[in-house]
Amino acid sequence: MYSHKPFIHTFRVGGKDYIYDVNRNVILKGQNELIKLLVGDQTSLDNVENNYIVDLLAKMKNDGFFSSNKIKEILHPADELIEYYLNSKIQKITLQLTQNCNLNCSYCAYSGGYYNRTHTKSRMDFEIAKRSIDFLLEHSGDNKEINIGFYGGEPLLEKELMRKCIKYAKQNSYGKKLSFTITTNGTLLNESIIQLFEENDVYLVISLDGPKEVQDRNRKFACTSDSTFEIVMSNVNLIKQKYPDYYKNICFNAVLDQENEFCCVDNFFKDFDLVKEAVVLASEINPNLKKDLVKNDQTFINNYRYEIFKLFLSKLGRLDQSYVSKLVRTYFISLEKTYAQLKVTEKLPEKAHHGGPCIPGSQRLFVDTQGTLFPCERVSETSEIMKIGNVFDGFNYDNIREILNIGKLSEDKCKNCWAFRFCGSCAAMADSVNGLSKYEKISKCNGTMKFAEDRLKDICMLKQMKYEFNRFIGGQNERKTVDISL
Amino acid sequence: MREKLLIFPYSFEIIPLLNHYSLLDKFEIIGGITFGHKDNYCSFNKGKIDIQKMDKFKLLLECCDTVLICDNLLSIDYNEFIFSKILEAIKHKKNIISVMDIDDKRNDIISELCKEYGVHYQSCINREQKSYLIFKENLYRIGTPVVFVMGMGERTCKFEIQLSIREEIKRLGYKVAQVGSRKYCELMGFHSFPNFMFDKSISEAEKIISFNRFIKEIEIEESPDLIIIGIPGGTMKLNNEYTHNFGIIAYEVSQALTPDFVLVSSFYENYKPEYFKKISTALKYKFGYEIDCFNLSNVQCHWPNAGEFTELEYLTIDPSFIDKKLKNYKDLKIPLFNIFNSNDSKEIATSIIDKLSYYGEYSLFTN
Repeated sequence: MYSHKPFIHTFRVGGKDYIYDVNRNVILKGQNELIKLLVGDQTSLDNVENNYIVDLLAKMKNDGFFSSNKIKEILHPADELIEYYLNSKIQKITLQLTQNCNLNCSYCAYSGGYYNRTHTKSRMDFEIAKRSIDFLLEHSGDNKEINIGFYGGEPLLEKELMRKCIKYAKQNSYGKKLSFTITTNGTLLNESIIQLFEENDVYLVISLDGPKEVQDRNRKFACTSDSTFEIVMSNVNLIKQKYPDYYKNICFNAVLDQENEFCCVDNFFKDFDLVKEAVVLASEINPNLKKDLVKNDQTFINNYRYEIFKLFLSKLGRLDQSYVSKLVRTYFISLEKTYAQLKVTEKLPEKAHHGGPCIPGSQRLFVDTQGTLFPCERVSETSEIMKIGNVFDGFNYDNIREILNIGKLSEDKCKNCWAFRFCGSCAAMADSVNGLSKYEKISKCNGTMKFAEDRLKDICMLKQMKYEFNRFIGGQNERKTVDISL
Repeated sequence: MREKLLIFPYSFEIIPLLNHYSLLDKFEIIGGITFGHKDNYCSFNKGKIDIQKMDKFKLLLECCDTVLICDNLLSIDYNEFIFSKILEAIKHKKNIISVMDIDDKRNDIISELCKEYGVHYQSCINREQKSYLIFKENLYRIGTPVVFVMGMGERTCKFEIQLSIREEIKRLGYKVAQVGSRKYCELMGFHSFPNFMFDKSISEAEKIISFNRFIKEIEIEESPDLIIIGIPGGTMKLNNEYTHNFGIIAYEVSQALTPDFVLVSSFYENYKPEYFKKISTALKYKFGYEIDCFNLSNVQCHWPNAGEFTELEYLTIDPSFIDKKLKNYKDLKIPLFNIFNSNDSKEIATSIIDKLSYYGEYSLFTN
């Protein structure tokens, strides 16, 4: 007799049924009768004729499968150690050198299109920058590697400040591998700054959306009508010609606006001479706190999905990788990560937190021009809850714990959600400017669950096609991972 | 007048040595230079050492007679951060003592430069290549009680435990022979883990036999009341990503000798009490003996950064936090300790003596 419903999620892909067992954290190949039994009212097994299924069910239940066990309390496992994480395990600090920008991009968080941010003339003082770097050094005792990111506004408006920061950090970061990252619109690059980047191995991320018509549509100068595309390309050409070794290390970040044609953007990154060899990372327009709705275009989505299909074909050895859009390759990384998450567990723990939140401040601590600390550069700087301290007085652990345990906002829903482990919701997605909002958070749940199910389906489909995940066997082609601000 | 000693670099790794190195009494420690946050590790050292950041290196160098070069896990750019500072110290006519494993080429450069500047150089690393002629693959019976100190992985405070136990048991009046898990144990008055155990040209069976003979030799030569053995590395793979040499050394030592008391130190996690029971069972069937007690170390594996291609990272926790957590495990059948709590280190030593005394009484009836 069943007294409780099993905590499972069933789905069908490629004509086959699958069961995701939430407690055991595994995907099982289903059998129709078994699934019917599991999702039915399960009042009695007496009416089930197939003895094999009954026996199998009993055996599997005995092994901990199909349990109805749920989490009792939403509490992030890092909660009890958060002070230690932030005392010695900060890995990266991102300095907002300025809030000013020479562009006025339509979808930029600072260009008036969002409720939370606008461009201002506020710039970071070198004393605050030094204090921020010291703050990172003082709070990274357990790290062998640290990273300093330069962010804006447009960070290249503060070239001298950046130069001083690099020098100061190198002089003081003894015994650690120090690296730098800059996210820039690329319009203010010049030879001396490129030389600085090359000498200090600065990982350069240039925001570039696509060909001239696409780039210039959204990325516009604040004061002139000049083409940003032409200036960025001329600067990239300078890097390629004069610093060919450094050119190999730059990366382009494309914001995919569905107002544009996918193929047009895709062909540009595939064929255009100055960018075709470079790494391209694609992101969507951030919908959080945006005043206008982000447009969804079905043709764009269909083209995107077709490229994912080609990506799968290439992974299965049926299509050369060169035919696959660079803009979708990161999707496979998310699939691999999901696959890596599928590790068998005995059952769900009593206390746990859904996937999504990072340890606020530990992974990519953001410092604004005034020295205020935020969990990362993607959160709203005007939200009081996101202010997690400052470089002079240290951390505000009340805010940090609230952000870390964001799942408490929707505790009952989360405890009963099959996608608990695959959730990607963090505090940034629950921010309503006036504070963290349950409504904001749960409004994203359907999308999160759909994304989780899609990934599980893709994994099952690829496994059906005999794709072997994680087949790296220690050869020379070591995979390079990229850590940038998107 | 005592020689003035500068610790460089000061890190988590050197704390056991500072806590227990009685020879340091000959020195006056004027301070330490850390690569990290100056307060990060201060709470772990029992003495009051002035820890400064690298910008004070020159200042402290001027005030010392000798620099103690320490082993550390952060030496990623050896040339820039360590070797150049050693040369700088010698040029400032400072003696060098090293517990860092420096390669032969640099060792020679340091020796030559020390001669040139008229200062002393002492490398404390055991480089002895001991070997045994094995005619028959038999194991000798070790009559002296043997204590194993093992860890679930690297960085589980094993060396601190070994030194604490040694200190406490010696204080109780027993004669201790010891083989430690580090390469500079001779500095502390006992044996380093023998180099043949890491030699890839020796078969695993030969290592087991040789280790057995190595211990038998110590037993004969030193006639101790007790032999403490610190086993380097871990006892088993953590998972498929972090295999930690699969606990092969622990297995080989366990084949060579049968311990009378076993202490296993675990990483910190918010474990359920059953965890320790399961580990105890796993080790029993892997190695063939029961675990007498556990230590909960103040180091946690940093799982958020763990992955297929990354080195395992760690998070350091204050020992007082471990003290609080231990209250949740007071009903465990196998006791759990925090080595940084001085009462606990005394209690571990007492448990060892109590158990071995009981064995002593028992053996009266059997022999």
